[in-house]
Amino acid sequence: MEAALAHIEHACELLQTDPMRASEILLALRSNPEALGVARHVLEHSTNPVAQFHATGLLQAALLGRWTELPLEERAAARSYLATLLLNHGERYSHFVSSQLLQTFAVLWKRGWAEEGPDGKTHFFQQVQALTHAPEEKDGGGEASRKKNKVVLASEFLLALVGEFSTAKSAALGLPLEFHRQAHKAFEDYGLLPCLEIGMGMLARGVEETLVALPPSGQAGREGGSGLTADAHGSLLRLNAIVQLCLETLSWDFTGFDPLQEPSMKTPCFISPPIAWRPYLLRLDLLEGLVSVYTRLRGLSVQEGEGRLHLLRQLLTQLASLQGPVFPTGEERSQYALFLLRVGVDFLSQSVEAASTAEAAFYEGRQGSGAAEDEVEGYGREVDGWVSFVHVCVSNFRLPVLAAFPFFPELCQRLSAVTCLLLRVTAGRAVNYRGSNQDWTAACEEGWAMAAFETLIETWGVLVADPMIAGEGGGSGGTSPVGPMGMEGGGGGVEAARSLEEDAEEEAEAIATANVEEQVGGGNQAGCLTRLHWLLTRAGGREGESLDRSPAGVVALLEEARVLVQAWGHLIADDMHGEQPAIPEAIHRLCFHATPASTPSSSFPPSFPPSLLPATSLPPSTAAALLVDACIHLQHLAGFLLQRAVEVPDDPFLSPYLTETILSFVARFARTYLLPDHSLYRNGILAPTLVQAFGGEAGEGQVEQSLRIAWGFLTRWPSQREVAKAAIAVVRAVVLTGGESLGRAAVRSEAWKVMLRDMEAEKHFLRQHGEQLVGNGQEGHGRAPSPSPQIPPELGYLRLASDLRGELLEVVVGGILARENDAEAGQGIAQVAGPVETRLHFLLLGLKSSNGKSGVGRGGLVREVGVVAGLYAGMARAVDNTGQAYLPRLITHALKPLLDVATLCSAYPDALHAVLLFLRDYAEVQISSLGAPATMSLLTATGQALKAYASHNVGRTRKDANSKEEAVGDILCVLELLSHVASKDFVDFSAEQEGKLAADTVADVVFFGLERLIPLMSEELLEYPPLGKQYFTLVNSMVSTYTERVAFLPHPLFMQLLQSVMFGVQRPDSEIARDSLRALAGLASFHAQTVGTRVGPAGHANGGGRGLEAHVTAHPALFSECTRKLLHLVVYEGSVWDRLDAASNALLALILCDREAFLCLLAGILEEQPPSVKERLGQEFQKLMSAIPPRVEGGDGREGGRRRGPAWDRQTKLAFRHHLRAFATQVRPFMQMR
Amino acid sequence: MTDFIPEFKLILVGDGGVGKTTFVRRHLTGEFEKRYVATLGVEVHPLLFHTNRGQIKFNVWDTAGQEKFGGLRDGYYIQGQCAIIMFDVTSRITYKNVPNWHRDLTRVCENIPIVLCGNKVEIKDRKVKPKQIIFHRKKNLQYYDISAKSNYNFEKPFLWLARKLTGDNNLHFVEAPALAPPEVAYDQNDMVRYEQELTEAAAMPLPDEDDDL
Repeated sequence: MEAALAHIEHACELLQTDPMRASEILLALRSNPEALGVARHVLEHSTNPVAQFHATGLLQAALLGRWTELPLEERAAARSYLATLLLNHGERYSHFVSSQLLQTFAVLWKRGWAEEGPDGKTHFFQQVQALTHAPEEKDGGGEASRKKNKVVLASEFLLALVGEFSTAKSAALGLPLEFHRQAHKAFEDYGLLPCLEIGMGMLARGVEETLVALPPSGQAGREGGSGLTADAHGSLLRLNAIVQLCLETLSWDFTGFDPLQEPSMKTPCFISPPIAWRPYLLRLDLLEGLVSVYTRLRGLSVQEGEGRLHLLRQLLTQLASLQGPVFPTGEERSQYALFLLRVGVDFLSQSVEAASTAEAAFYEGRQGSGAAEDEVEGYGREVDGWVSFVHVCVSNFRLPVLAAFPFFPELCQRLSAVTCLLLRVTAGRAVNYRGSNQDWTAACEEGWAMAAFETLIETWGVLVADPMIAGEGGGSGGTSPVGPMGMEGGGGGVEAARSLEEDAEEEAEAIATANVEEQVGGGNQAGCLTRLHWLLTRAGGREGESLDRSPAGVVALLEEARVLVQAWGHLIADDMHGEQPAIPEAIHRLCFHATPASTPSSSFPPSFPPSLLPATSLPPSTAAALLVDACIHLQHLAGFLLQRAVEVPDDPFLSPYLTETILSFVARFARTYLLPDHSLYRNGILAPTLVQAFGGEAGEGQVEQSLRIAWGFLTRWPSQREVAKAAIAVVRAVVLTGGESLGRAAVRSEAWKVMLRDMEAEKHFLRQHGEQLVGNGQEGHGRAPSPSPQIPPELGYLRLASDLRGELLEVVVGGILARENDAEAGQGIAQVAGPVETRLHFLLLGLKSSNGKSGVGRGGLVREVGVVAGLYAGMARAVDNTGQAYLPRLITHALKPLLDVATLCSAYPDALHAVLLFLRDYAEVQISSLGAPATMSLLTATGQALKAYASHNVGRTRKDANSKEEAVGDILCVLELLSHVASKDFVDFSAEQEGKLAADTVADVVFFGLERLIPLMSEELLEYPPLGKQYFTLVNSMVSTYTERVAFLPHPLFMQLLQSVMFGVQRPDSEIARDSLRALAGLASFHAQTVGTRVGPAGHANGGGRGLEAHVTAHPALFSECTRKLLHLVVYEGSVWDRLDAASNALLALILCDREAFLCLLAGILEEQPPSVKERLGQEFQKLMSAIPPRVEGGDGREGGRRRGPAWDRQTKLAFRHHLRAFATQVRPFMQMR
Repeated sequence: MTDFIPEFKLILVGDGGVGKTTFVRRHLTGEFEKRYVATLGVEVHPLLFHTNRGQIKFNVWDTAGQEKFGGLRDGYYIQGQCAIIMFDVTSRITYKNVPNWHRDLTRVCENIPIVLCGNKVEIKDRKVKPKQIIFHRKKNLQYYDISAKSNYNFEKPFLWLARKLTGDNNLHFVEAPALAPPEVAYDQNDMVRYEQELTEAAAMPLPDEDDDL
């Protein structure tokens, strides 16, 4: 034994330097027949904690290894031995050894739980209970401290037990999952409640004890004002252990236990314990005690208190997550909820104030402020914890429960104040970072305030998404519990719209409806708008003498302004009525009863900075007016910035980011608020305030302004990409995505006409400078490069990036087609499309004149191809519902020259890529409505482009690409193009009757492309998610539409396709896997159904074969290989449930193709299993086989054949799916070891 | 006199395939492992960082994520001074197992600084979204999104741990660690946009499974 001890100790020393060798030695000991004795000897005699730790592992392995041979008494003795070590010799062991002993103790209990009778279990819990009840009167020195240790030990025993039973992961028992599942259930039935009972009992005593040891003065629990007294320390130690036990117990998963099942990611999680838990959980006295302890702990330093505070917050959060049968009456639930919410809001207010003060102090004394930073971090975590707590409370108990109490509005007000404070702290962060070179945007986002602010926004979202507010036509007529908002109550009984709460986006949006008035003006003197006003008036230069004009100062100021504009964006929110944007009901109500705002100014350009508002407190009644004013003034601000961009382009306060944010705000505001459609609101009545501000002439004036501002930025500041994108978004919002009246007003506006005229003017410009623009292909051949023509200011948009020009054209053409009448539409299209045609004309001229030449000049031409193709792509993406087919005619006319361009540039990947993108977009948006001639032109063009692509570029991945997307962009684009083209065969809305597409035309084009792509589909390429998805979608679609053509692909190509499909089956992505499985099912079922008949495309090289017979002949193991992989998937793969239904179809089809191969496979798998598994697996195989329809003999005596309904019909597939699901549920637990 | 370099034992745990070995090898060999090779037992990698207070070395114990290759499993955690728990943001089940790894780790290593890392954020098909990652808040851990493939945030977990271990919040790295060039470009704007798209997509109703029936 001594030698073994030395051996282990030596291995442990080796562990830090040569872990692999040490592992070998220590693992080898596990097969030693004397392992148990050695382990005990080491545990009792070694002083090396690492050796003790591994001895514990050895002991566990030795006991589990011969567990089934051990009589019950020996099992009990083993547990007793471990308990004795811990109880009587615990001081010998380090923490990690004790933990390991405890875990082994729990593992042994788990292993033997099923065999142990109720007496043994009861006895165990009684012993633990006894540990917690050492007589008080014996307290005195050593006895008292031992008792305290016993409480900790009792908690740890139970904690280890609950932890072990709750998971299948912590111990390597080598048992099937079903064992863990049964153990989980058995412990839930008998074991969990005693743990809770003991735990909560200890908690109550622990709280009392801590309150005595740590009186309110704070100092009384300290020694000389520095460290904690021994008593206080001891009681906190015990409380910690107890709280951990309670937390673990409350975290028990009552919904079942399946470690292989993908978890639900829904947050927050609620707990629904059984009713038997009620007496232990619903104890307001205990909650009050916990709150008192928390309050006292807050008096401790961060180092002393933070960890403990965190644990208590977690426990309180768990208790706030309770729901279900533990609340037999609504009354009790309300009392409980209100108590918790009050506590939460109290502590949240305190912690936010403390955190904000600490942060301010930290920035003031920046140097050497490690401790201050700790403090900020500590308070930040506290804020985070309480915000989560409040979020859980609100999400769990919901408005109807919380609103039952008269002081709920007051709680809302306090919560609103906290939200505002958090927003200010976040903005303050930006200012505080002005002097540093740090990435302060990241600092703002990473800081505690932003995260907490976001969670609070969600909390408000949950509150107002409640049907009580959201519901229509409330019956009560009373004031809503969210009183300060002045909204009418909704009655509270409406149970609809629950799904709202699951939509995070809507929740975020709902901030406005939640605390719009609070944030806008509800007594919040230092609210967002005031701050924004302050910032921007100074930035405007009128009062800016004292402003920090250093780069960092300017940046910080602008960023703060940006955050505030974003906050306003949240506040105005938007909503959808069907497909139309609309003002959210809550804001509408807010404005309904408000005094109409003063008539807004609509002068343009605006004389900014306007007097936004007095920088004093604003009574709540003006909130609606303030909201209206703010919207208008922010729009004016956009105009002001445009003016500055024109007049003072080097103004340091001219920020693209701020401009982009404001334009985004304008887009959102315009789409939702301008010229609103009255019919969307209750009884067709719109709030008078909103009508006055945004309807009629006022609204039309603002539409005009919005368009002018957008076009102004596009022509004057085209080099700022983000600004240009936001400006295009404004045009889109006003013309296309807003309501009907908004769109009509937009195309009637003078600004719109100016825009079209400017765009048309490009044509004249091109006529003068077209050759210069395309470079005429002559530079590089002894000629000097043509100088770039001077672009006049009104044509500044020509300097936009080509993709943005395409996007702009898409919006403008879309607007013309959607909003103009027929005559004007034709004229409008001619205005904007004319320059594009002219440009194409010059491009062709340039290309032809440089034909056969290469050199620098080609670069200009290739770029021009990109621009022209991008413009056509933009037009192709516009929707043409006029019935006049303006776009198809226009584009069909351009297809031939564009394809000539593609052919001439086929050696230039960028040029060809641009043409392919155009074809893709055209096919995607227009193909379903194209008539036969236009479709034929598109198909011809596609074929031509594919040939050009195939001749030079197949398989090319760009080495200079910045990302994977770019590197495989061509392949992805071709795949998308083929998918869109293929869709024509089953989605055709074409109204034209003339002409008809020849059969197989679409299929010919698609197969031409597919046959060139299949060989490229390596595993590495398919691992790239977008490409993989596109490819498998296409393959699945082709198999389901043109099964025969796929089946009769040349054998090498078919095998490559099949290989890629089998690869897809195993991808983690559900969609890819399902598409692959469907394709596999399609092929196999085709074979199963057609074998025995002569089916094959006429004239095809392989025509006359049956099903996949030609491929099976060349590769006999084709079906069995696929079947083996599918069976492996069903039995062993970690994730199968998301694809099991699709797999069942594929597996059934494969079985029908080759039943014998399947039977051989089953026999082989059975043979490999140990006897204990073989029998059960055999039974499950039998059950599965019973779902396979009996063999139906065909004409030639073989299985399959046409019209074999019983073999491949819906009923059969459903039955097999049902059986396969049952099979997987039964088999996976005992085939997968843990 | 040779300068003393403080060394710390760092335990790296997480489910199999989440990218632990890949992550740690970014620093060492500069080679991104395209193919997954399961770690047997444990591999120790010394990672040296240069800070404003001098050099610091993390001996990273890269443990096996798969149970069958586990070796001594938690036996390797002994004397660990800090830890990284890693999961794969494209696999929910790896996040589901984080509490188990944390429990095992803290059983052996009491009160050590721990960072939770969500790897593979460069993959556009993220399954565990930032808002769903809450475990670190429950356990007071630090969390970082990382991408072993693009080097995104590679040094962040080490910096946070170094600050905690030295008790010096002003500590920072003065030299970028020698990492392999990123295999993919990580575009933050792209990720922000993608997150937004994901949120929108998540709100869309899912089609019924296998609607051909």
